Amino acid sequence: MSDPTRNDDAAGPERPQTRLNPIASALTGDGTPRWQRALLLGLLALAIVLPFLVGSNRWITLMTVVVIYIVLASGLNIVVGFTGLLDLGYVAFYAIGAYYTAIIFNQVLKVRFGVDIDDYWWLTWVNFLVGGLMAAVAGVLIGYPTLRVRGDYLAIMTLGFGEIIRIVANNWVGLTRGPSGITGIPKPALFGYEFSTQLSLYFLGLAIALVSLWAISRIVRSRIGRAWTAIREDEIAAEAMGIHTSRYKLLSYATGAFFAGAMGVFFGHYLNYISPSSFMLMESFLILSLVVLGGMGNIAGPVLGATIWIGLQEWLRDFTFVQTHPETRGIAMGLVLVLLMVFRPQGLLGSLRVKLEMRPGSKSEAEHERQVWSDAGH
Amino acid sequence: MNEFAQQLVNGLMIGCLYALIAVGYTMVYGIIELINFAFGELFMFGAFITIMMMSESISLFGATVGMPGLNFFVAILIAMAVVAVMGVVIERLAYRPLRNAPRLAALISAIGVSILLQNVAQSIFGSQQVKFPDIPMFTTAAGAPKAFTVGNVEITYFMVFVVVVTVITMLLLNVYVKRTRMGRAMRASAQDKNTSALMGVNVNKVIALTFLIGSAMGALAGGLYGGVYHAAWPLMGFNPGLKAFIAAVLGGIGNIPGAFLGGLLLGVIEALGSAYLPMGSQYRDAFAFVILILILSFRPSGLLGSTVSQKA
Repeated sequence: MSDPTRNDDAAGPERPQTRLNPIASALTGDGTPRWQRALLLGLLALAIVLPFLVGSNRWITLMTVVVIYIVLASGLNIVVGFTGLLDLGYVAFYAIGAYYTAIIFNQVLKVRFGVDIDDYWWLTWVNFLVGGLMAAVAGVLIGYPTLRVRGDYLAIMTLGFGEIIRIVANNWVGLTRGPSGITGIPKPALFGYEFSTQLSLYFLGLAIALVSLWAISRIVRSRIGRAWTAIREDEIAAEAMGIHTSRYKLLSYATGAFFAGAMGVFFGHYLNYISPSSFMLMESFLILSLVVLGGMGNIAGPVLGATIWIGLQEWLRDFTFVQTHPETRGIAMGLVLVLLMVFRPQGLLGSLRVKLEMRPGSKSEAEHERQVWSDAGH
Repeated sequence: MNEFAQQLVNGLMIGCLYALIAVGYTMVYGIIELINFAFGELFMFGAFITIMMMSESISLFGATVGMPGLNFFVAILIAMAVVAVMGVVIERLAYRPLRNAPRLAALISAIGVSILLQNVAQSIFGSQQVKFPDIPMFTTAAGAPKAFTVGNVEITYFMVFVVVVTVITMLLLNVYVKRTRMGRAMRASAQDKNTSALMGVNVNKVIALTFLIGSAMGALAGGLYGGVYHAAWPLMGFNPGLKAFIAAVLGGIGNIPGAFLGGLLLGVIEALGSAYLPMGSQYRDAFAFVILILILSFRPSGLLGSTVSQKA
């Protein structure tokens, strides 16, 4: 770990040389072990082929939900996994994006100005960016007061912020229509083509997810991402190395929030309906669990975490016991978080950097080196 | 004026309950620098166990089970004892293995424990509100709370009881931490765990004791809160828990008199704010976070805290 910028596991002599490698590389970065890239590529292939094979809308809906959570978990991973700060109100940023687009289309364009919202199809695409940016600004505003104190306070601030957003959405009836929610958000459309079928919406979501994953993997491999990792590893040392920690922390909150906001816009247009009940605290915890399960600080981690957990959750929904005892979901979530932290803090996939950080002094350098090799699939 | 005084009294009482929970947060954060989210849930268990002990029978996992039907004072003491043990067990299983891990791991573990307890409570007691039995000493024959009036302000006997119990507990706790051997060990561990260990302090024991006291205080607050609102429900611990942490920050984290002051202030600000601000009652739960933002921006060490905010 002498050089924090080095990818710990990229030194393997035989790098995978498949034709699909550029795709995997674009999504995960060069440092990801071979089997994890294979996994991602496999999931991607499945994500493209499966909807045509299954054909039933229930499955496609499920896969759309998974894709949404993949983006949310990957965005949260920036803050929790790469920067090492706990954000417990992440769903608030998602809510900001969703409410922003719903209010613009329904409350402003339709109700206030009485125009035909179908003429404004292009606004949906603009809103992806604007909704994301609004969430990013909110992230900075929430994070700013915590900069002077330790990062733990961010957990409390975000937890409170998540609740406040929900309280506002419930009570500011004139703007958000309160608990009954906003209906009639148009489906996304592009030059007259309307994304009206489940299948087309799914592929739109998948496209957004791929762009997001690509962007996130680029950011975390950049100078910015290295600064985040340095802050996570040792804030004082990072500062001593000339990293402006406050600025990079704010950037991390903003970037994480951006993806939630953008996905919130998608969610609003996807369901055509939003209400405060979609943005409960439990959602924030769920997203956190996905990141922790897959592996914090690993691009592929949240993807796997979301696929497994959301898939399992939907599958278990068929069991009567789970239907009559909805709290089993929460019990499982709590147990998974505690057990993973105690026994496998790096999650299913693990991040080598996290591993080094989480078990200080438990392994010699040589042992660690061996571990790296075996993890990389050599 | 009367409404103002009434709100002030109500605020002080709720503030006392925040203060009791805040003690746990402030002591634990003072020593191991962990926000133990689970205190809110231990508070909730305190309320439920008090109800269990007071009832003749109660529904657990959907089955009706006979219960001792004890008097309120015995019931709340039992609840405190049970929850104190729960707190120590949680520390042992979920936090101690992570003592030397990065703080993020312990924090995630804490949130996991909190989610777990909340849902376990839902599984045991159901997701609906459970009625808190009337306490004969504080209730008239008609079922209304016994009260007296000062001017036009109505004060129930239970409110007086809550305030008196809180003040006595806080005083005892302060004396314990300031004057006893174990209290000195606590203060030493809060300053520097490693050096204290070298000086012969059993740090593990100190931390366990901190969780024991903090959890018992939380359970006490929970039992009293249940008595005030005549109910317990699995999600009841969430908001009071968060607010108690904010109260601890407001007073100065690691500082017991600070927790008391912070709790009272927060309770009063909330009561007055929800009475006098426009739409105040809807946004009642938001005030605490505004206070947190202000305190972090202008005085991160809290009102009574002397140390400058620690970083990293």
